[in-house]
Amino acid sequence: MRRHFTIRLGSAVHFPIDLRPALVLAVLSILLCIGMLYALQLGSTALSMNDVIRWLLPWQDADAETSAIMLLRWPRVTVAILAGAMIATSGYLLQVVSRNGLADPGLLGISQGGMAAVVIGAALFGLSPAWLAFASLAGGFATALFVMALAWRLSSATGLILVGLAVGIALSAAIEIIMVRGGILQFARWLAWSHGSLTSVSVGNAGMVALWAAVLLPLSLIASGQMMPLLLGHEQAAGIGASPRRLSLLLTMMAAALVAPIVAAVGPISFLGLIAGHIARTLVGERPGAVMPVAMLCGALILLIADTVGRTLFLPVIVPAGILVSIAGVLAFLIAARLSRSSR
Amino acid sequence: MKAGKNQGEPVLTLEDITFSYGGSAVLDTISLAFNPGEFTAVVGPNGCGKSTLLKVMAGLLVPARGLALLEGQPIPALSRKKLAQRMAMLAQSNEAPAGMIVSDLVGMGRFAHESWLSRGTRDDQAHIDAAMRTMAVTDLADRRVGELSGGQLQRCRMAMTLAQDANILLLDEPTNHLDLKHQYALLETARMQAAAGRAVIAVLHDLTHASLYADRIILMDGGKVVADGSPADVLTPENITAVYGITTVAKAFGRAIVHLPESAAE
Amino acid sequence: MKAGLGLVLVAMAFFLLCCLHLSAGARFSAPSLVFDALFDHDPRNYQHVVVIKQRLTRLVVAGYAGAVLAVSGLLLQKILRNDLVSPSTLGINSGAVAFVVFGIYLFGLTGAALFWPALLGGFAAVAVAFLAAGLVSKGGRDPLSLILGGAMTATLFSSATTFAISLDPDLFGNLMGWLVGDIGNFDYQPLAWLWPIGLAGIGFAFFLCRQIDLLTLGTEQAATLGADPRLVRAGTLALAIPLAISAVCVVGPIGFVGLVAPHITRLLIGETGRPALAFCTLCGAVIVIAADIAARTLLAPQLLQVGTVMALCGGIAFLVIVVATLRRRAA
Repeated sequence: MRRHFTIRLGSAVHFPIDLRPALVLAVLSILLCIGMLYALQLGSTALSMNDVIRWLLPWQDADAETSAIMLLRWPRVTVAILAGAMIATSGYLLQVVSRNGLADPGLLGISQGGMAAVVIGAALFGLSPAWLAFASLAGGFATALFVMALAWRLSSATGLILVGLAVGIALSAAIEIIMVRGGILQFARWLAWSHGSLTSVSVGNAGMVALWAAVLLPLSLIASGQMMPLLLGHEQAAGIGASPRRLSLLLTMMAAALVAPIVAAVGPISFLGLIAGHIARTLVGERPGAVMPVAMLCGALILLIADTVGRTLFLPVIVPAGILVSIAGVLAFLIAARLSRSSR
Repeated sequence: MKAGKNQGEPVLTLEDITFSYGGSAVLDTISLAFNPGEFTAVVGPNGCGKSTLLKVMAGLLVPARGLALLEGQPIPALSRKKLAQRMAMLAQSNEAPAGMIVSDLVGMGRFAHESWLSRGTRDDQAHIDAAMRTMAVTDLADRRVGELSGGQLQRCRMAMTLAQDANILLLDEPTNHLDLKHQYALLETARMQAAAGRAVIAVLHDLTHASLYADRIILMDGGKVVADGSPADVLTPENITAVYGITTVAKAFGRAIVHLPESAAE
Repeated sequence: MKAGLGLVLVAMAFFLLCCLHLSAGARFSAPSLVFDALFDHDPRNYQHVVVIKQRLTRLVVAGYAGAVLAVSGLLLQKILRNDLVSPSTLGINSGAVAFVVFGIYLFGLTGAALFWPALLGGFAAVAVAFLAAGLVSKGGRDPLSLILGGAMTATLFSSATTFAISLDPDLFGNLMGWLVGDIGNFDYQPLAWLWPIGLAGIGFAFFLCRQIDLLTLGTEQAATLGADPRLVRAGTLALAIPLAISAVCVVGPIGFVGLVAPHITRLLIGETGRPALAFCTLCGAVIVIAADIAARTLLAPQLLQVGTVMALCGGIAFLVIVVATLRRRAA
């Protein structure tokens, strides 16, 4: 038996918590706090750690210069952390639903659906960022529903991914047609956004993302307790008493909702869900109750690091975080592939 | 739960079940009743509908016409959890993530008895331990699914089904992936579960195995029940010829009935 | 249908579309005018010049790109026994573009020299796709894994491309059309030295056809029937990738011809034998010529990029193919 401790309250509550995931979570939380401090400190204008801590503590006053810089930085850092957590969660939800470790909102067309809605919303209707989040949600939902409807009959996991992939590709093409209108500069800017960039994150964005996160992240954690049967396939899941189709639909919708505000504020970030999910599973095994929180923290940490590196390492060029995540993530993935192959 | 055959009311009843996929009828007006304490084997050629029958019984498929009743209640009306508390199914596909730990896999059989806030109780653990002992997989408890052989995985999945502690066991081709020793062991386990008072219904493809362990055999063909009764009554050369299209000679070895092709029989 | 009939039909379609292509444009040219321009050319007649210098050149480029990409796709699908692979879905196109962009940025390469980074990029992409596929399913032969691996590869290389472009956008100003895949008015110039590659490639494909067919039965079966699986496989990949690259160098990454043409071929006359290969070649040419006509006339006088038209239609075609394939497997 694995080591665990249990929360007991009479006969109604009997909640075992495994030791290993708890330890991993603790370590990751500490790393995230440290990372946050460094992220606030580093940048094109360096601050001392003292300034940062003084600014953070509510009972101390920080000087005007620090405050001004922080006004630009803290929304960005907050969004990086929350967005990382939300995308990682979305990716993991899709991985469980499709029973494939490669699933990711970017690969299933959901991000592209959100993108298309945002592009149309911004270009045709000139919507503000807050409304764009809802547009993105509508786009993501519509795409998720469309993909699920097409793959419904075939409750095979493979079908879901293939259909999602195809829809994503078609949508990307459609978006590209709209975006190629302007000159190379606009194209380059759109390219950067389409890979996920936190450059223009405002306080308003941060607030919006925080709101969505406050609702959806706890919901996802609660759902994780019921997700395990899906890992056995729809038939066996039903055999032990789950409702796999309903659950799959619900989880896919949640996955779409989780990326919606991110696509609107930051653009889609591919592979983060895939990488965070993979790392989490390597650390704590397959139990969704354990993987979900670990994936959230992993995602937050990865995006925070990617964004901080992107805006400090290559100065004066600012590399969009999404690109760094893609490149570093896929490379890490490949290295892992070589390692696991040679160990077999 | 009373031991012995045909005791009390049937736990599972099918009335005039018809199920179609696409255009053709896969199940055609089937009526059956299953009692506790009975081990029933459903046999028949490929595509005869036996797996579909099991899925209708498990509530996985909704029949176009007819009623499936669990202890008198219509199956579609019951929630999945309630259903799973009384009826366990071992699916044909043995999908499971390679990184999953065996004790977690078997533990999933307790899903129907868990709630949001309560799981992994001592009662749950007792059921899990007993199931793993019955299937002789206790020493595999800490291994990962990916390290297991096909046979070991199947036995662990059967343990999961036993841990569910349901009155009715539906087994869809449970002896797949198992080598001979474990095939017999699993069938023996199924027979003992029936002897303990459960209703066990298994789809099997090996007629000899079915005759050796099952109390009752349902022979299907083309979506219809061709014969239903004891092995000796059902597995006659006439029925075999009618359903499988091959002329055979039946030889009995104790309870087992073996069908050999006419040409090889001498 | 029988191979002979199929070939006749596709040849007719090809001929018809060629004529249509030469006539269509911002201003429709009557067939008689086209005929005159071709056989009784008057260099001082502006309309003749348009037909020859603009449309005919585009026609040749479009036909070449389509033919070569279609053959590449067919070879890939047969040798990898996977209906969904193509130069675009395996990431070959993206890899080539990324390496070219870096070649321009890091080494200031131009013109013909860019063929080499493109080729390298194509091979790199295939290697990465296989590696990524192997990560999830042990062995990585599962068709889905390869497609996902290709998608990951495409995203990886497109990220790299975006990164490079963001470093100095003005450097790539006149490449924008090529980046999304387009037939420009001067694309026939690189074609002048690339066409031997395409021709040789298609020739080799015809030569290897029989052995490739054997390989579609499975590696072990092919070996017992007398082919050398590893050699044929390596040879075919070494053939398919440069074929695709030769198209990418001229027109940029045009997707889905390599996916759709083999499917049409398979639907109409099957994928075995030399007639199928010939059909696929012509089919690919037909598709891209049609796409070019659409690109030039749909929003006339504004020009659309062929690449984006292909991507949109191809994306929808991919979707249809995926759903049809899954329906068939589930039934």
